[in-house]
This record gives sequence, C-alpha cells and structure tokens, in this order.
Amino acid sequence: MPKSNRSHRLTRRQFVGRAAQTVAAFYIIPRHVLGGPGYTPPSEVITRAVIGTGGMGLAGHVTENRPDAPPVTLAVCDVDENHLAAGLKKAGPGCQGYHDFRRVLERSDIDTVHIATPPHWHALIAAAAAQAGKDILGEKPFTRTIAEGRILADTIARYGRIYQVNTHGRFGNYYGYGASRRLRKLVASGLLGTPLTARVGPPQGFNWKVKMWTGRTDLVAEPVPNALDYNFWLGPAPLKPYHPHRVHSSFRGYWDYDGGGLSDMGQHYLDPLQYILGKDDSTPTEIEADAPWPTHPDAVGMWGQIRLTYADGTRLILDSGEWGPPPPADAPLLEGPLGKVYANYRTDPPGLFDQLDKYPNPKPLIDFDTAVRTRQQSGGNPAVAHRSCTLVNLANIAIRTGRKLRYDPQLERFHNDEAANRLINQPMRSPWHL
Amino acid sequence: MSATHNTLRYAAILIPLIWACATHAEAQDATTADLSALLSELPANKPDDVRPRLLALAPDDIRNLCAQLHAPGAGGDTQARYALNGLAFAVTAPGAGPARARFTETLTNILLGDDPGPDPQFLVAQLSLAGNTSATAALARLLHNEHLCQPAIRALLSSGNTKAPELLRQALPELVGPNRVAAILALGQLNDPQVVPLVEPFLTSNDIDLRSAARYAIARSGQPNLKETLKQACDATAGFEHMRATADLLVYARELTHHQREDEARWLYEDLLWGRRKPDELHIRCAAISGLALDVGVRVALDVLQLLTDSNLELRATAENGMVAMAGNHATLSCGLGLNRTNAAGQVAILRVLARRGDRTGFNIARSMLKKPEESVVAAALTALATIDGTASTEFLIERLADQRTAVRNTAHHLLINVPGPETTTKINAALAGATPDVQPLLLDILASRPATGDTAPILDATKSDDQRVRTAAARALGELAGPKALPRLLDLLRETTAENQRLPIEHACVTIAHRAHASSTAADQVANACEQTDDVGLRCSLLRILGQLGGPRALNIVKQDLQSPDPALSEQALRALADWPDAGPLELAFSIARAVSDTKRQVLALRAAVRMINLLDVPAEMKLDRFTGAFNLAHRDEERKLILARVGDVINVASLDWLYPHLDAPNLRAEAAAATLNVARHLLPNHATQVRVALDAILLHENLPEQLRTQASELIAEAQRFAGYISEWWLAGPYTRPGVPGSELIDIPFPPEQADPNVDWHEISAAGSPAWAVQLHELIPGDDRAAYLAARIHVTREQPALLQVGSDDDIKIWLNGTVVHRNPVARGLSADSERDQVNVTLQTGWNDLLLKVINRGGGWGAAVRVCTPDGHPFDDLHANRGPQPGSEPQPH
Repeated sequence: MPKSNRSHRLTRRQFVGRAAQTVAAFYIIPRHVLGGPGYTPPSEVITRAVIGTGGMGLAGHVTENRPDAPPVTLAVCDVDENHLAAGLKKAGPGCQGYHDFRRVLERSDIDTVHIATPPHWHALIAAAAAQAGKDILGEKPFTRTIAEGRILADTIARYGRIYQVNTHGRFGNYYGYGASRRLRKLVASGLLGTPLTARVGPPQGFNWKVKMWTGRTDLVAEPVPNALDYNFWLGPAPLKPYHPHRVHSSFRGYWDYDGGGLSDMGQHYLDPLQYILGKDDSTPTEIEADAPWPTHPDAVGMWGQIRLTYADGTRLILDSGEWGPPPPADAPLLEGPLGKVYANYRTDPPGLFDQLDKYPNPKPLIDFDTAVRTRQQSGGNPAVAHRSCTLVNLANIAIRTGRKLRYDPQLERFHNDEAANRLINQPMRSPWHL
Repeated sequence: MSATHNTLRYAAILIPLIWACATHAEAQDATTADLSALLSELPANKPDDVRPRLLALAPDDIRNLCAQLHAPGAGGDTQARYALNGLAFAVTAPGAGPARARFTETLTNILLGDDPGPDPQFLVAQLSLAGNTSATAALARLLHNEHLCQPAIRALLSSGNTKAPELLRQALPELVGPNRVAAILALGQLNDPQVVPLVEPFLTSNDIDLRSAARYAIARSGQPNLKETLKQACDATAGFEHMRATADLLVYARELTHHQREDEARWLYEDLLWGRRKPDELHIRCAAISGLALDVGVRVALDVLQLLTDSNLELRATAENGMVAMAGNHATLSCGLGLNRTNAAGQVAILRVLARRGDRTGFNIARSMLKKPEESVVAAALTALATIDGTASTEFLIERLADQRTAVRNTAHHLLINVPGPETTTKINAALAGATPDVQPLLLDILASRPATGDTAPILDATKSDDQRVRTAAARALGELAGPKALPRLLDLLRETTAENQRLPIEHACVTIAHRAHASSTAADQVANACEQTDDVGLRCSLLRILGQLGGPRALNIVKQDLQSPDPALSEQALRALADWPDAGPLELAFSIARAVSDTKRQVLALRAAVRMINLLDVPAEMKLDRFTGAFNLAHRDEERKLILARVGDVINVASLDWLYPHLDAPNLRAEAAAATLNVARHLLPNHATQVRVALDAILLHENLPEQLRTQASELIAEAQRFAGYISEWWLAGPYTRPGVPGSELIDIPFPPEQADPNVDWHEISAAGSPAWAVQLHELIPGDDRAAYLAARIHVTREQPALLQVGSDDDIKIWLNGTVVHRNPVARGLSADSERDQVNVTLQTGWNDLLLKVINRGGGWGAAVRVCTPDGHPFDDLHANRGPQPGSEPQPH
C-alpha cells in the first residue's frame, strides 16, 4: 500500500492495546454491553496473517473465519499454490491470499503475523514483520542458526514487538512430569540440590524422531512442480536441484533448511527445561555428541547421545535411543545430589512436591494474546526462545564437527573452533539478508 | 523442464567420467585402494575411527575425492561428499594446520584449474568451512566467475578474512545483476567504510534489489554525514521497501555510535522518534527509543526516563525495556536523577527499572525513596530493594511492617515471605525479640510462611510473650515449622492459657506437629500424660480435643474414662472427641453409647460419631450400608436421618441406590434421599447406566421435589443415555514404541499384548476423561509415535450379531476373541458422533475377549468403543467390563 494512502487514525492493534489499558485501569466492561452475548467487536479482534500454509500453518494457525463474526485470519501466504489454496479455503470469507510475504506485511489492518514456514525463513520473515510493526507468533525452531537468533531477538526487542515461539510446554504440563511452573519451583527450592542433571530421551518418555527426520543422501534432481515457486521457497538457502524430499513435509532432513529431529522436537522439549532449570538467560558451555561422523554435507543423519553442560555444572543429556548404546532405562528426568524426579509426580525421596508450599511461586507466564494487549513480555519471548533454540543449534554443530565444543554464552561464540563458529553464522543467498 | 533435467542427468554421468580420465595416473596407485577402504567406512561410529586417516590424505587423495563428485542432483557420489565435508571440519581442529593447508590448496588449485569439476559450488562451500588465508586468492578470482561468484562471496564472509572488503570492492565494477547485489550486501555486512562512493549512484537505480543493497551498505558503513542521503532514499520508497529503508536509517544510527558519532546518531534517533508520528509508525518510534537507550546510552537517559510516563503504552514499555538494558553504572545513577524530576507514577516506573536492572547501585537509590510520602512509591522502592538484594533488604522490609499505610505494610509482608534464602529467615528470627507486639505477630506469620530452617528458638521464646496475640501467632508458627521437641512447650502454653478460643490455635499446632512428625503415637503419649496429670477440666477438655484427632489406644482409654466422668463438660467433650477420631476403631463404642443413653444431646453426638466412622470403615459397600441401616434405626430425629442419607450418598455403589430408593417415599427425607441418589448416580456413570436410569426415574416421579434436583436428574438421565453401551473400564498396556518408526507405521508391528505375552504389564483404567466415555490416553501415557493396547470383556447370554461403534485417535486395530475384526490406519481426532468406524461382529455366548491397539501419530490419543445391536440400539442383556486381567485365566466361555 502506498504510504500516502495510509490513514492517520489509530491502528487497530493500538486501539486494542488502549482498550486493554482502559479496561484494566478503570473497570471491566461487560461483553454484552459491547456487542451482545458471544459477539466480539472488530476492535477487540487480534487479526492475523499466516505465512506458510503447509501442514503446520494450515492446521495450527489458519483459523476459520465465521460469517457472523469479524474475520481473524485476514491473509494467508505461501509460495506453493496448492498450500495457498488450502489456506484460503480453510480461512474462508475475509481472507486474502498472497504469494509474497512482503505484500502481507504492507497491510496495516494485520496485527499479528504467524510464521509457519520452514526454519530457513523464520528469522527473515520475523525480522521483517517486526520492522513492519507486527507482533509475531513463530513456529519452532526460533531460527535456523545462532546468529540469526541473536539478530532476531535484538530486532524484536528494539522495535518493541511481542513475539511468542509456538511451543507452550513452559506454560503447561511438562510431558507427564507435572506443571513446568511447579517443576521450576521445585528446582528453585533447592530440594533437589545442585548441580542437576536432566535427561531427555525415550526412557523419560521423549521421542526425538531422529530417523524420521533424516535426510536422503541419494537425491536425484526432479522437475519442480508447477504449483511451487522453488526459488522463492529456497530464499536464503543455497540453490540446489529440486527434489520433493527437500521441501514440505520432509525439509527437516536437510541442513540448509532445518536440523532434523533435534530441530523438530528440541524447543518443545528443551524450552520448558531451560525454564525449569532456571537457565533462561544462559547457555551450556560444553557440548559433546555421540553420532556417526562425518555427517553428510546436505542430509541430516543419526545421533545417539548429546551432552550439554552449563558453567555451574548443570547437565542436559539427550538420548535418542535410535543409534548407539541404549540409554539407561530407569534414569529420572531430573537428578540432583538431594533428590530425583520421575514421571507421574514420583520423587526420590518421596513427597518432594508436597514440600513446596512455603517456597515462592515463579512469576506467572504471560500468553501471546495477553502480551499483545498489555505489551508485557510473553512467556516464550525472543530472549528465552533464542536461548532454548541455541541448545538445538549447539547440539547439531557438535554432531557436524564431531568434536567436543566449548561455548561462551555471553559472546555466543565457540572457543578456538573456527569451523564451529562458521556454522553459527551462515551467510544467506543474496538478496536476502538480516 | 524435462529437457533440462535430462541434460543434467547426462552431464552427471559424462562429466565426471571425462574429468576422471583426464586426471593423473598417480590417482590409480595404491592410495586409491586405501581411499576406497576409508570411504566404505563413512560415516564411522566414532570420529576418531576415521578422522586421523582423513587428515592424512595427500593432495592426490583429495583430488581423487573431488574427481568422484558428480553434478548437483545427479546422485551417486555420497561417499565422496561425506569424506570432503568431514575433511573440511577435521582440518580446522587445533593441530591440524598442515592438513588444512593441503586441503585448502588442493581445493583452490582445482577451482582455479582448467576444469573445476562438475560441482565447484560444493568445493567452494567446503572452503567456506575450512578455508584460511591461502584460499583468499582463489576466492577473489572466483568472484569473476558468473556461477561461482555468490558462493565465493559467502565463503569470504564466512572466512573473516580482513582482505575480503578490498577484494569485493575490486571486483564490484565488473559485477552485474544479482552478483553485484550480493557483493554490495556483503560489503554492508562487513561494515566496509569505503563502500559509500561505489554504491551511492545505485540509490536511484530502477533495480529494487540494487538500490536496497546500496542503501543497506551505506547504512552499515557508519560513515558520517549520510543521514540526508539515506533519508532522501527512504522518502523515495513506498510499501515494504519503505519499511526496509526506515530500518536502514535505524541501522545507520546504530553504526554511527560504533564510530563514536553518538551526537549524530542521537539526532537521527530523535528525528525518527518525534518525526514519525503516524499511528502505524509507532514501532519506528519504539525502535528509536531503543536506539537512544542502547546505542547513545547514558547521555540520553533522562530523556528516555521521561518517556516512562508517556500516554502510549508501547512507548512506555519500550522506554522501560531500554532503560533496563542501558549499559553502565551511570545509567543506574541517571535513574536516581530521574526520580527527582518526575511524579509519583514516574517514580514507580523508575523504581521498577531499578529492580529489573538489579545492580547494587540501584539499592541505595531505591532506599532513598523509602522516605517518600506516597505509598505506591514506597511500595515500589521496597520491591526494588528486595529484588536487587533480598537479604540486604530484610531490615528495611521489617521496619515497614510497622508502617501505618496498608499498601506499604502489605508489600513488606509479601516480600518478606517471598525473598528467598535462609539468610533472610535468620534475620527475621533475629528481629523477632526486639520487635513491638504489633509487629511480632506479623513476623511470626512471615516465618510460618517461609521454609523451615530448623531454628525455632526465637519462636519458642515468643510463646512466652505477655501479649496474647504474639503467643497465638507463635503457636501457629510452631505448628508450621517445629518438630516434636516443641510439643512440651505448646502443652505448657496450653496450660497457661485459659480462654478456649485462645487454646484452639495451640491445639491445632499440637496436632499438626504430631502428624508431621510421623510419630503421632509418641506425641499422643505426651498429650495423654498431660491429660492424666491435670485436674483442670478446661485444660483436660482441650487435651481431649487433641487426643480425639490423634487417636490411638491410650487416647481411647482416656476418652472412655472421661465418658464416665461425673463432670458433664468432660464427658461431653470425650464424646465429641470420638466424633473427630481418625479411624473407625471406636465405632462399636459410639454405637453402644447411642443405644444406651437417654439424653438426646448425647445420643445425637454418639450417633453422629458413629455415622462418620462408618465411612472410614475399609469394608465392602454392602457392609457399610448395613451399619448405616443400624444407625438409621437408632436415629430419633429427622436431622440425624438426613445426615445418614447424605453419608450413604458418599458410598458409590449400585447397592446404595437400592438403599436410598425407599426413602424417596418419605416426604420429610425425600430431598436428602434424592440428593444422595444423584451423587451416587453421577459417580456410577458411565457404568451401570441401566440401574442409574431406574433410580433417576424414581426421583422424577416426585413432582414436589426441588426443581434443581429434578433438573439434575434429567441431565443425568441424558448422560446415562449417552453412556449406554460404551465400555468404560479397561485394561491398559503400553506405551510401545519402535525407535525411528513413526506412529503411522506402527499398526502392523506386533508388540507383546497381541502376542499373548504373559509378562505384559496391564493396568486398570477407567474412561474418566472428557468426554467420559472415552479413554484419553494422552493424559495417561503422553507421547507421540507410540501404541497402546486396551482390553475388556463383553458378556452376552446367547450368540448374536453385534455392532461395535469405534472412535479412535489415531490408527486402530481390533481383535475379538483373538481374531482381527477391524483395522483402520488413520490420523484423526476422537469423536462420539462422527468418523466412527462401524464394525459388525458376532458375539459368542458368555464372555468375549476384546483387544484394541490404538496408535498415536501425534497430539491427542484415545479411543472409545460402544457395543450395540446391529441396528445401533443398546443391548438389554449385555455386560461389558474390564473383567479379569488379560492372560490371567482361561477365557471364561
């Protein structure tokens, strides 16, 4: 939209924010007064555009606009015509389709951008959305590389935007081990002692989907489908011949776009764990991986165990159970010198959770919608999302380099490892840049 | 596209062959065999199994590897790519310098040679991982190669080579199109200061990529006096490009500060902050505020602090975040200055900044605000103090417990509870003795709310206070924190206290300590001793109340003894103690008293004690109901009869429905009987739907019942109808996974339950999720890509056809009496009414074994099975339940 055509009135999200302020400051206006029972006035709707309407975007982000209510999903965008058509069909009336995300970001009536593209696009689109004044709900992983993560986190902070990574383990139950907030309280209480070791693998009920997301090393080029703008799909990634296994539901198996099962499940499993362990502002300093070596330059492969150690001795042990020796069957999720935590609220010694009443509760975490309205940081904000995503990237870099790595969490650089550092910041294909 | 594709395929085959033939004959020597052996081992289980041999490869070996590459997308060269990528990582390890030189030189020689092979981009990518300065010359030459220019630029960017900007500038005049754009962007990313004159002419280019790259490179250069240039460029843009051009202006301002040109940067940031006032440019203003705070820093701190009281929420939030992130101790000191130049709301905001900054300088600044008259400011100052240094703030917080302003006092109280660490507890303990009687109860309450440290001596001392409020608070605190050693002092305190209402918290503390100590018998002995040693009726009553809650044989003897006491207060209290008894031990005693006494009050007390104890009995429901019948017959008043009906409502059993049924006809008791029936019926569903329906119909027969009860009955009838035929109790085994196999491929992989393995670990479960007829497996055994098995038994009185209506999330497979009767590999959600599978089966006379295998591909996971007649109606004579554990006994036909 040309600049001269923009209105000078309040933007819709500003109105929403101001309305939230006003209501919070004075009184709660009954919903029926505003618009009748069950009615949401347009001014209260947080509108969205969904960029990437493949599997995740379509299932998890495109809402069905109701004919009797203001539309929520105003725009869908995909470089695959079939995906775009599916997104438009699901969203229904009031939604417009786009091929180029930049055109979406030009719309002033869109409050939030949901990014459900493959990860090699995450940082670029999210940063552009922030520069366009949008709030962002981004699919995991936060970014494909550590450097992209740092730039994106800083960009979003500078522009005063709200961002939430679309994994919600820290808000709720941690995979059958109880509320993440309660586990955080247990760790903070010191009842488990320090340093802690956390294990995340099949014996603890976690599935890293390693083989599922391995890439193929025998790809032979195939014609690009007419419906797909492959060059745009690749975007910042190196130009490589098309094969259907590179794109859509199997892109995770290729380093250029993602990082296998670690990238798929990593933030689901590790973002809450960083929170539980009180490591939201930190990163491990030593990383080791047991994996076949060398890795293929293009296709993501297998791994067995990854060990990440923080400066204070806290350890994360990730077991895939799909390669190498089987992990110990009876290991707890959390183990400290004074106690252990197993599934189903079982602790050793028993009853540790029952002793928490007198310890301070962790701060409540704010969800995305509330954050958009109040401009407070959401629970999965860029700073913490970047840190938890860094775990994923560190693990994959350790797998690829095949050696023990030492990392500086402040500088976000490896000590004395040039190749590992080159994987932190991988230049993009022109003209894309952050 | 297909022609291109064929060309690529032929090229993939021919080019490597031609190229390989042209290589030197030395590639055919003995090292070739070694190399082949090495390649066959890749990837290895451990890096050290192959890394030394990779590092030892000679230049000819590396050439040989490169010769094995095919064109991109041609395939067939996997091992060579493994080896070259492994080598690229291996040569950058410490101590691998010579190998790195060999690798780099060999690759550059190939790339600069007459024939760089079919995939030179791959070789450049390896150089971007491993290349050192010796690769620079080669990369510089490749900048002039139309196809390799951009990979070479990326390799130069990765290398961190200080010559990269110069090389890019030299190449720039010859580059065109996307390569030129890539080079300009790279110069921008390298913050090249000399790029400006080279790219300034491109700012007005018609090529949007070129002018955008030029703008970006100029912004990143950080060179002075370019603000107007960039602003003009920005003003000439629209739409998305305008957003990026604005972003470039902000980048330029930041880069200026990297060159110590903070004044120029400040001017630009302030221009954006106050010049971009359109509603949809609020984020630009936010970015300008962030820039001022983060890049210009402390010299604009007071300006940023002023924005903390701006009317716009986004600007306020950004200013606060900016002040929190502003570097340096001087920023904290600026907050101190700002506090004196703003109103109370601003002071609260600045104090919040100080709390979030967390540096020690802020502690003294916040402390100075404790003298302010506004309670919101003092409360914020206390929060800041506690956040910055909890332990050091303790004394200030304690002082404020005596503050007359409620908000201040409450804030201090809340913070003292939540400041972590035993040091704070120690300080509060230390302050206790010197505090005023008004503050002491607050301190004791705070101590009671904090984790125990083991030091209860100050609290024990407080029990000796002259002030009753302090003594009571101390007793409460001991109850929360102390061990059995505190019990004698509490018993003394009980002796020293005369008013019953003051004794109650002390009694509660005694009971709590006894229960927590897991040594209630020892504690009960101490209480019993005290009881036996006193002639004071009031004290003895108090001790009886404690003994009644602790129970045990000695306590019971004392209670029995006091039941015979001529003192009516004592004998009545003994009877009341029975009503609190922790087990059903004295049930017969209570019954015997209820039968024997003539005094109505005592009979009621005894009966109530008996009724309470019946529910504590660990006996079958029918036996409990017998005892309730006995109690009911002893009751003289409707009040007790109603109590008994309510208690029967807690016995969740079909027999309870029968027990309650006749009382629906008693006008005085009908409502209580109906309420109890509803409670039993609600808990019996989804099982026993038929019996529940009968009981609920009986309620609806009585039109004069309260409408609320009739409505509940109607709702439960509808619920019972929904449950009719659903199997609600199951045996569960699992989860079962197969590493690396997604859920979608598990349906035909047999796990032990379908192999009649006697060692399967079966667990009893009920369909108690929501909806109630479904087994929600993701709540029981969460996880993706796994299988679980559900087993149940169906009983029919004669062989007959039946229909299984099956819902599942996701895939499902069903065996009936050992035969697969249904298989549906599907990803779906669980629904009662839609997407159900209809499975026609024949049920044999007697018990039929039903086994379900339910797969979770991801997310929700569950199943539901409804057994009905072939035309979809409930069976009249069908029983479906969990039955004996699968495999535990022969099939009971």
